[in-house]
Amino acid sequence: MHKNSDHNELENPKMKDNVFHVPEGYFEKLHQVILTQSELDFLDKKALKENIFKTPEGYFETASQHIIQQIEAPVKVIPLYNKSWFRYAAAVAALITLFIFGMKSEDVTDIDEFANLSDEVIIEYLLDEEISNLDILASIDDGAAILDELYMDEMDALEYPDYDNPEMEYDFEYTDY
Amino acid sequence: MEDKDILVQFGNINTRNSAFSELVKKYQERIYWQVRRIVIDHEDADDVVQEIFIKIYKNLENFREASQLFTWMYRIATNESLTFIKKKQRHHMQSIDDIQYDLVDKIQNGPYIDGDEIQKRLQEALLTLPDKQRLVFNMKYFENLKYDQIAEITGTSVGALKASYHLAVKKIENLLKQH
Repeated sequence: MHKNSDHNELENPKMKDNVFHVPEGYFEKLHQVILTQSELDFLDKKALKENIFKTPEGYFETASQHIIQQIEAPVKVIPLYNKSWFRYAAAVAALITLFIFGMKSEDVTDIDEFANLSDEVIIEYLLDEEISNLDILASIDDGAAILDELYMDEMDALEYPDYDNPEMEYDFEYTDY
Repeated sequence: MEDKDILVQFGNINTRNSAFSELVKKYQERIYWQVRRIVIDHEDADDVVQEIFIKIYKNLENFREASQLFTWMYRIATNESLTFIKKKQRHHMQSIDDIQYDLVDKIQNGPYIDGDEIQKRLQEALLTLPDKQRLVFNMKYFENLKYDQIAEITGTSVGALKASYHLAVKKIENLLKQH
């Protein structure tokens, strides 16, 4: 019974009248308030998220072809004796060799003789003797300095595609803010 | 083609190059836009994107599927973009201010940029952020990536990213209000 009377009251059109009011001129100001607010929330503007950067026409079609062409191009093989660390090691080994033989023989007395040795002779010597560059470096006084230099060379070399090691694990350098 | 199919085909020497071609076609645009927003200039972005895909090609065999393929590629792209900026600064002996000045000039007058004044102002304001913060802002604001995705890409905690993004937003809003 009680429910029925409630129901009837809700059907009274007056019940739908808005009992709330706003300060005078509120809606005129509201427009400006919204605009100001949107100015404050500048970053929320959808237009700002639009991509303003463009590319030349047909760029993506040609770009993928360029990448594939580079991948399919024959790999540039760098001979071992062209590697900077190997040249250092070879030079150091040659100096040691000259020093050792210089002590024993009178034939090699001048350091200029070093200049007459070809890369091939030095490489052959290193391969025959199975001397590692680290062994050689460990045996001389400024080995540490040369090792540092070799390390720097290798680090620089990694920046160029020709020297990239394909097996290299990709290290991410993201460290700080 | 699904990523897993691309990876299977890449593992087969006979289908490797065609699988890689699919990979490039599938992802090059997303990678390009990510790079472009960092390096700004189209020619620079083009160089960096090529370098990124060559690195991806050389390292894809080592990809152990511990993360999504795209996340892994994004990580490489992110790192290469930051490395490019550092290298450019070093090679041209430029200060950060010089580089910023060049980039602002490119935003205002460079080719292949077509935005209204307010959009360009935002890009200029972004250049005042540290590169890594700008990167996080781009991933969150423009690319709508989730924090956990960005955390995986950058190897940073979600908390640190939220703090970084919040700071970036505050800085940008302040800068834009000053104009």
